Amino acid sequence: MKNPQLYKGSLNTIIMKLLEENGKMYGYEITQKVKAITQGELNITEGALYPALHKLEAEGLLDVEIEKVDNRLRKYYKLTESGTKETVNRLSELEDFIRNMQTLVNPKLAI
Amino acid sequence: MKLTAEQIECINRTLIKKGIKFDDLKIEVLDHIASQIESEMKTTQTTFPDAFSKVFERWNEEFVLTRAYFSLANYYPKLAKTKFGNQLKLELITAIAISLVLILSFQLLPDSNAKFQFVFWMKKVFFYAYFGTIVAMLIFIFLNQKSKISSTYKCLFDKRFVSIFCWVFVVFNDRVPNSNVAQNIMVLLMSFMFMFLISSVYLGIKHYQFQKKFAIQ
Repeated sequence: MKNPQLYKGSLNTIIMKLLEENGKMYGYEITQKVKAITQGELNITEGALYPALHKLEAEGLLDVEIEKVDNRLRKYYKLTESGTKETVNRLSELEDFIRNMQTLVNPKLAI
Repeated sequence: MKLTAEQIECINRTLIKKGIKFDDLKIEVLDHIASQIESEMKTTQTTFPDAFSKVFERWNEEFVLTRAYFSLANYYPKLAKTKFGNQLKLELITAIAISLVLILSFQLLPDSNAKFQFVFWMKKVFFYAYFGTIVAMLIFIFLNQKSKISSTYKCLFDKRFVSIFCWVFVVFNDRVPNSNVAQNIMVLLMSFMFMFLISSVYLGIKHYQFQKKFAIQ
């Protein structure tokens, strides 16, 4: 990843979008999914992922489920009802941000 | 290649040594590390001890012990501290919002008698809320007494339970100040104390919910 700071503000939205598409996911699965989608360009570290998941959980946007898998317990995250509504808003905000950045960086293409 | 129960237990013991003792946090960190070790062993054809060292090396920064926001004496791994921080920030924002609403409502009152009544009734409501919270907290403690499950919620809850008794002097002091400034300060302080009471019960509920999910497995 070339500049992690550029992705930092969008991490919560990325997580919510993935959960919206996949139903429920666990931490390691989220990191691997992001890595696969971006072909290794975006690598979410543990130090960024868990604080983001805990924040979304504290805000009531995520709920957790615990299951026993391969000799250990696994914590799955899924969107709550308000989390699903909030995902729509945040994705719309992110799309506006991308559009504005596109206009600023490359005005000719934006037209 | 899936890890054996002994290998999982080895990761579990290491996490406890590193201060990840809260089950809500430990479950996901253990699972993440185990998944990374399995992947490392598969892709590089390495042994469990080598993959274990390599993966824990990546996590070292998250296990650095740092002083908790709520205590001068307690140190927790960075990952736990951040989780406590998220909870406390949310409470602080809510407390500020509640106090703004109450302070503004207080300012809109027409005369000093109405303002006196506002503070008087606020203190009365606080009196019952305080004892209601203590009863609710004692119920949670009774329900959890046999459980060995720990969580970040329980850690904050236990600290709240101790500190809540420091407020007895506020609860039993039924004097309402006459000056406008003192009344404003009292409304502000009580807003924060109300938030403290609400969040103490919330933490108990969160731990109880986690415990139920954990116990099913």
